[in-house]
Amino acid sequence: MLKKLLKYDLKYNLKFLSIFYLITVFFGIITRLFLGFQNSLILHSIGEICNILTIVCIIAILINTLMRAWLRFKNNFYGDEAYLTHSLPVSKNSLYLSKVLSSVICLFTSIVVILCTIFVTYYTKNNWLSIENMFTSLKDIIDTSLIFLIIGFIFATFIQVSNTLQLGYTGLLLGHRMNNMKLGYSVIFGFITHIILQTFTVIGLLILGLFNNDIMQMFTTNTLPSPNFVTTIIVFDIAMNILLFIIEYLFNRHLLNKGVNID
Amino acid sequence: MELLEFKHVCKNFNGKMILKDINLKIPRGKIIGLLGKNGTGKSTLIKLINDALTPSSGEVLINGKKVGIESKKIIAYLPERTYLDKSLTVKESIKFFQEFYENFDAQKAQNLLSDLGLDINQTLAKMSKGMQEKVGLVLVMSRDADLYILDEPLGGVDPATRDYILDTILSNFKDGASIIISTHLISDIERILDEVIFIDEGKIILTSDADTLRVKENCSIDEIFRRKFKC
Amino acid sequence: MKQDFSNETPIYLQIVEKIKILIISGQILPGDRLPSVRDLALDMKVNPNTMQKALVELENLRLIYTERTNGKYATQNKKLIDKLKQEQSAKLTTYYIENMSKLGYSLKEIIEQIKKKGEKK
Repeated sequence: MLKKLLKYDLKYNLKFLSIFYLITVFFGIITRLFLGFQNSLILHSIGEICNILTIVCIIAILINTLMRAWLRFKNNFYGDEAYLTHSLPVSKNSLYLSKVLSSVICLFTSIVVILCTIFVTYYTKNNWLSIENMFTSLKDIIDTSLIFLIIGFIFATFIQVSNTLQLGYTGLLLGHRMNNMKLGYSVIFGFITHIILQTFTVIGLLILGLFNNDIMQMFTTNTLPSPNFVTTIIVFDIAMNILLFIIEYLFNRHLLNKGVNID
Repeated sequence: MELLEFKHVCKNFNGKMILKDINLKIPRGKIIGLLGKNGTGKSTLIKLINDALTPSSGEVLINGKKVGIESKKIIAYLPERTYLDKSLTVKESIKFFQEFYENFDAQKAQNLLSDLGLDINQTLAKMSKGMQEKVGLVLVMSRDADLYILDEPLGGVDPATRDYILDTILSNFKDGASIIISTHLISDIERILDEVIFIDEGKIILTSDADTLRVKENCSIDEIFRRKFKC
Repeated sequence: MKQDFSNETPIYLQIVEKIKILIISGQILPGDRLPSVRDLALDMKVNPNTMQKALVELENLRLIYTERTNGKYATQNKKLIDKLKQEQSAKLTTYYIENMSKLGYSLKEIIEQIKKKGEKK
């Protein structure tokens, strides 16, 4: 049953997102082409415009990935479609897992498309070399390789945005337990959850600081931390967010199992 | 073991008691009318059977078990609203039902849809509300369920379609299955009812065999309803 | 066979009347096998449970009988059929004469009316 739910959730989200994906990559390619025309002012200007459009599209992909997922969740569990959803002979656990999996998968594809677009639009050997050079000059502060930093950063972003997805679900689940202004409350609860999660992260960081001098220094002094610092932060960030993801997952699933009250 | 049973069910909403101590037993093999004015708890009662609401207290039991996956397999529910994913086509909706419900007859659905002149390749979003409702009805009636629950199936529908819907309900009525029809349009439907349940202000005020009630009050159920619920 | 039913009196009794007419008018011949309960119900567009009640009542009135094979058959009792036919005819006639009298027709005039209309057919 889960597979079937997943199929329909994915189909719904990807149907909309794929249009954005195509447009973004399209603009990326055009940008690269037109920016290459150094000689003609007009063509180069078009390239600049496309450049901005590409960036706008990238942002649009991210926003849409989140919004589509949240909208699907709200309509499927609380809208008119909810009558069908809750009459299906499937467990609430399956229903929730399908939503989480489908939205995380869509987030993954979105990030892949964004990275490809960035690569297609901007990558030249020169660009890469200048980034590497800039990076080596920071050797004193950052002790890791550039690749590790980039991958770590992407992974951390992925997990954090996944958490944003789930806290949106938390907001919706809590907001719809209210009697009026459900959407309003959903947004409020979403924000509150966000603040709570951030607080947990800081507390976690403080606890880590008890064991790790570098981190403690960050809180207590103004001095530059040692080069290991960045690696520690990245690893902590990823680990903390995975933990929070799991906690939120269990919490949301518990909320859903308590039952819904459809208007 | 009753097909459906309500045991001391109460439902609060927004601080208001929508349903007050509901006790009901629905037998197998009957067509039952759930009759009451709008806003008196009919839809709430129905939503409690279908897991769209949870009782504030009391139990809703289907074949002796609480509402859950097993009960959902044998209940076919037609809500008042159009409940289908409007981004799908009719054909995809049929496939959806086929995938999730074992007792769904896709061929029957297609036959009913062509009888009604509906194009299965059309997207639901592009259809009129009336057509969407017909699709919803067809999908529910194409399931081989033990309990059909139809919430206002005749509302906002033209007389010809109304006849067709009543015919479909009757021809679908198999041995041992029950149909609960909730409506305030009583005169159209009372002819096919075995039993009637009157609900007012969250309480069940009358349950009776339909013909017995007619003899007792010497008039139609519609007339009895009007008398009882005079404003 | 679209049937019109009134909501004021028990449906099953109305069904009994309709089938009674079919039998005494010969549209269902003595000894004819009746369709199944389901088929009859679908035909008249009524609830099969109601149809079942009607058939039980018809059996009580001796208008139909059940064979060992579980099929239902129209009575072969010609005397009963004739008797019921007479009763029905009397009912209709009485009703007609009463209402015509209310309009002010005398018996002679009523008979004239019948002759006139009857010949036109």
